[in-house]
Amino acid sequence: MREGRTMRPPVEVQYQDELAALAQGDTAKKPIGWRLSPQAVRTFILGSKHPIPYGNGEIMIQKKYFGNDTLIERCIVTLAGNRGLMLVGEPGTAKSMLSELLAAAISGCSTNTIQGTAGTTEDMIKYSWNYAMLLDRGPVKEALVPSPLYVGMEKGILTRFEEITRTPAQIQDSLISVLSDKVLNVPELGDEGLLFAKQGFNVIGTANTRDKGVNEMSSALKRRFNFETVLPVREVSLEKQIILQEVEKLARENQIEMSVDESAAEVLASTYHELREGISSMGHQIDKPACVMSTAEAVSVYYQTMMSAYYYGDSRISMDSMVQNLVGAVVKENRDDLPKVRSYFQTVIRDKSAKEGGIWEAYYQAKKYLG
Amino acid sequence: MGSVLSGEEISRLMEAGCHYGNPCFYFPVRHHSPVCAFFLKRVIREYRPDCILIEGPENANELIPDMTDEDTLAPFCIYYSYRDTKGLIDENKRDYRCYYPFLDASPELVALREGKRAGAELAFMDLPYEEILMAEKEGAGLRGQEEKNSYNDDRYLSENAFIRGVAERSGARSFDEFWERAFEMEGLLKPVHEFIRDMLFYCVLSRANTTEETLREDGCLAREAHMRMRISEARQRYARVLVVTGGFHVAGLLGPQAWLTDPAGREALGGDLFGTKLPEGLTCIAEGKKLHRIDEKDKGVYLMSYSLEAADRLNGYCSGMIHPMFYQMIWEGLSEKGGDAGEVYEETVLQFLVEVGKKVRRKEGYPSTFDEICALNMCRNLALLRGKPFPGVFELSDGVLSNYVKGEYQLATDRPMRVLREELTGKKIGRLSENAKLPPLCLDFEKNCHSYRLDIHSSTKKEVTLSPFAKKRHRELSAFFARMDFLGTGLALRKKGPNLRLRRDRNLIREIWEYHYSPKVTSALIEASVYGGTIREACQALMEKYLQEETDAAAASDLLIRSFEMGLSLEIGVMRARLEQVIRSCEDFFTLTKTFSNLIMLMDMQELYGYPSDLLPLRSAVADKLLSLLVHMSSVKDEDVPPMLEALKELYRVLLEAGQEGERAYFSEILEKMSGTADLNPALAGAVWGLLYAYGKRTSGEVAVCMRGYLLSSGEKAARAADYVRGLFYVARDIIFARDGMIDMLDDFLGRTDYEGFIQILPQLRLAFSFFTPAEMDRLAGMVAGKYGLKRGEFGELSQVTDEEYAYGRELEARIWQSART
Repeated sequence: MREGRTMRPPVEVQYQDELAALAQGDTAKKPIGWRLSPQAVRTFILGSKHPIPYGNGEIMIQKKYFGNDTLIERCIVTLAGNRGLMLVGEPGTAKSMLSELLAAAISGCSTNTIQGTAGTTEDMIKYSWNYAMLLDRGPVKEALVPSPLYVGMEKGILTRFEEITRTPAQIQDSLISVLSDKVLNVPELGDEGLLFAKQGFNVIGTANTRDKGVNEMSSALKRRFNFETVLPVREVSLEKQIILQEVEKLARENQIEMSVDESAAEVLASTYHELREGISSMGHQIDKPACVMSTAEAVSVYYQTMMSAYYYGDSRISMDSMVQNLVGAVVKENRDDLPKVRSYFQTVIRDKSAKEGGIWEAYYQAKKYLG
Repeated sequence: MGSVLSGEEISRLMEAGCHYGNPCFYFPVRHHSPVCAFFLKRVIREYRPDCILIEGPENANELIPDMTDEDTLAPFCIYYSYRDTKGLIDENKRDYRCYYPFLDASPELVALREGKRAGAELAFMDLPYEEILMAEKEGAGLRGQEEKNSYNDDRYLSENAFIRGVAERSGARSFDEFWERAFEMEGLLKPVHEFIRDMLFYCVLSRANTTEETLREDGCLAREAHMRMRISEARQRYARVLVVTGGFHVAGLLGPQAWLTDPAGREALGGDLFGTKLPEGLTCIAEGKKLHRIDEKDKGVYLMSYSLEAADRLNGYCSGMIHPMFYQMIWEGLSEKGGDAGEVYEETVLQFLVEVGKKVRRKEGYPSTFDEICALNMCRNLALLRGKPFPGVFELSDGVLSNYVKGEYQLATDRPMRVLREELTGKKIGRLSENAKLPPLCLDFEKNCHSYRLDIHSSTKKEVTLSPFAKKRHRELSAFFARMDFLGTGLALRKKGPNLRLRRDRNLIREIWEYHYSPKVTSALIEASVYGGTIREACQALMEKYLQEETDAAAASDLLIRSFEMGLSLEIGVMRARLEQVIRSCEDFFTLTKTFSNLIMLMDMQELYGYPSDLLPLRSAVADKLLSLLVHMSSVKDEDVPPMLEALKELYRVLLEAGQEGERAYFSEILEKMSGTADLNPALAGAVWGLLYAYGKRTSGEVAVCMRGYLLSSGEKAARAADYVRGLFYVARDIIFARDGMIDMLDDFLGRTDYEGFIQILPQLRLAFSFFTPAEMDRLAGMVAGKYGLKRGEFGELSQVTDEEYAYGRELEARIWQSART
């Protein structure tokens, strides 16, 4: 039996060599509290053109974010300033991944995170108490249970606030004073209850604009953030590259010894891209499904297919299995989307299979799983 | 791709073309580039040329004094036009035009202004516009099909695949960002010779990636040959000649064969770089012997004011830089501050941040001053992160996007970016000095605008509300707008008000016009200047031209409507005579009915519009013609019946007027003849009998007998009975009240008609009764009610359906449907 490892190590662990190499050669000026300079943070996220020296050898910094490079630059500059950074956009556009990458590169810690839900309370955002100790010793600092926001201020590191708009608006607003004054008051601690944020502290929020159950943000809170809208990937080739890279990473982490099939990734990237945009590369007008057709979903479909092939098949990606997983991804939100995908197969995939043959033909034949 | 020059070769090129010790100095420029203008100004002061030759069609040389006049303010442009009446370009004999815009930051304009200050001889050196067109292949260069052809299109630099590759590798998001960083910003920090060297290197590289075939098709080689000849001539007369040309041409002008492939070639040519071999077949042009003789009336070259909006490449105009207002401010800063580049760029960015902030705040309530501070910090820090010496327009755009847009970037939140784009483009419009040679038509336009207090010094849209029927001045302004529209200037658009051509909204008494000045106004006026010295004259002459070409009476009457709106008199020139000629030569009854209808409408509105010309003779001419054709019109298609009925009714109406007795008698005679025609269309028959009744030629009893005939007929004829009723009621609906039996007859007819037959004639019947006024309908309904023993009030009442009856009805219907399905 293979020994279990951490399922998903944090970014700073996954890329510790890259981060160390960048820190080693980083001669540019760093904002106070930052582990890397803005230039090195950018290189960490967008990759290096050439290998950089590391230890006795060299290391290539991998490109981790595919999309708008200038957005990354704006994010880095925002985080070095007085404002928080709010990443908004449709689900599956790599907002959370980007926030982790930024936190890991800037503060060396991507896990200082508040997960926003409908049940998030102000205690979870600011601080709570170890009630046993509180009863025993009264309101002393040792009895205080710090929240990720508290930790961020105390250590001068970034705090990530995931899915902020899932949190009720009045709870979100508890961030306002912290973002303005950079101070958190713990009245129970008396004179020692003022926590002043150390330099290096900031907040990266992510917010979904399309899911059900999101709450509006107050204008006061909006004013304290710079907003960056993360758009879905607009190029099929880029989407394919993301699928390949992410699936390879997942396979590596889970010790699945199977190579990634590029043509299958292309089929999937093309399907997701065309269904999302509502038009095929051959010019067909397509009914767009209501469900989220994000790149992250495509990665998940491919990875599911890969696992099926690895554990239950012949370690080769089967189109039948891929279509079955695609159905699962589509119908989980809305069954009415299935006829749209079926119609997509009966027109676009049919024509592509006639024109291209090969894997497209197998993909078309798998339409039987669409019901 | 061609071979790339080594650093040594570039040095040789610099030595040959860009050295103060040389008798000729080549300065490579990019159009509208402030950095090029900045260094050019310095070169002029240091090199002190006796003569400056500038890339531009040489037939604009006479305009140079006006261009350099202190009262002439940029932006302005040279407008070139050429009418290929002799087919020298191709057999299509098209009209051509192009613009050569100049902004304050255009190096070419700086060369002219500084050259004048230095007392240098100034001249353009390119082929005349028409010769350039002749040297180009169809669809290439200035012979492109675009409306906005610009002389100084810099696509060789910006659309070059090699340069795009360089831009991409540099991490820039576009060629423009690459250019701003590498030249506009970093260039400013370099000594002049280093800047020129970089420009030269860059331009030679872009040229090396352009094929000779493209150069030939675009007319580049022919143009360069001509420019070389002009340079050579200037060198014989002046000791120091400065050549200001698009960087792309420098290598071509220096003689690429000699320099790029064989450095020793310079020696072989006896040091004369400018007499290098000309491209095959172009010797004659280059020697100036065989420039075509072009009739003066076929070519035009004028100076006209231009707008920053039109100069912005982002608006689809293919010339030079994007965001002209941003670079205008950079240029102003550089000129005033003597080159403290960082300060100028930072201040410009700050000014835009403040201005955009102010404008967005007025509508949205944000951004705050703190947002503006954060935005400026972001611009500075982005520049540092990107390795730029100071923030530019791209950092400004990023700063606004990040700090001013609150929430997800979408249509509802994008106001800051929209305002920024408008500000970056600018609204500035140039002005020409009073000495500038302008066609009288343009002067008359300005005079009119001044007199009507129209603002033509900004490109912002304005709205005016006019009461043309109440105020003479408003009527005149309305006519002026209509004239400007007729000349195709696009100055004004009527948003509301009577539309006589479409016969819409004729009941409105106010007009709302939206107007804004754009360079298109002046270019259209220049084009139309051959037609007259004033707007009115030009419209009159153009109208006559159109009428001369028009052979269709209806289209001619449409032109008459336009003349009417423009207040153009028929008494001047040949308009009236030509209109009468077109009417008399028209043999199509229905075309004439449309003309007739238009004339009647105009005569009805004549007093309101204060139209001076007498339209009666024209209407009489149409009426005569209609009468002469009417006798042959007894058999018409159903679709032609409505205009025919209208024509008959209108003829009847106008012939009732005094002085029309003869025509009236003739008309009734024709109607008599038509009534006896066997295959007369039933609707037409109804109208003819109705009109004869109106003239007293038939009694109501006779009309009733005729109607009875239609109503009692069988088969298909019975189906046409409703058509007869329709025709009759269209012209003489009062007959139904004059004759008691008519309602009985109709009632009897409807009683005998089965369901299928009734459905078939229902549309015609509905139409027939739609001619009655509401009061008449009420009276008619009362008469029908009386026939069935009901009182007037009772007839209209409907008993309310109970819920039970409704439920029963629904169930019944459902069962019927079910049984029908099974």
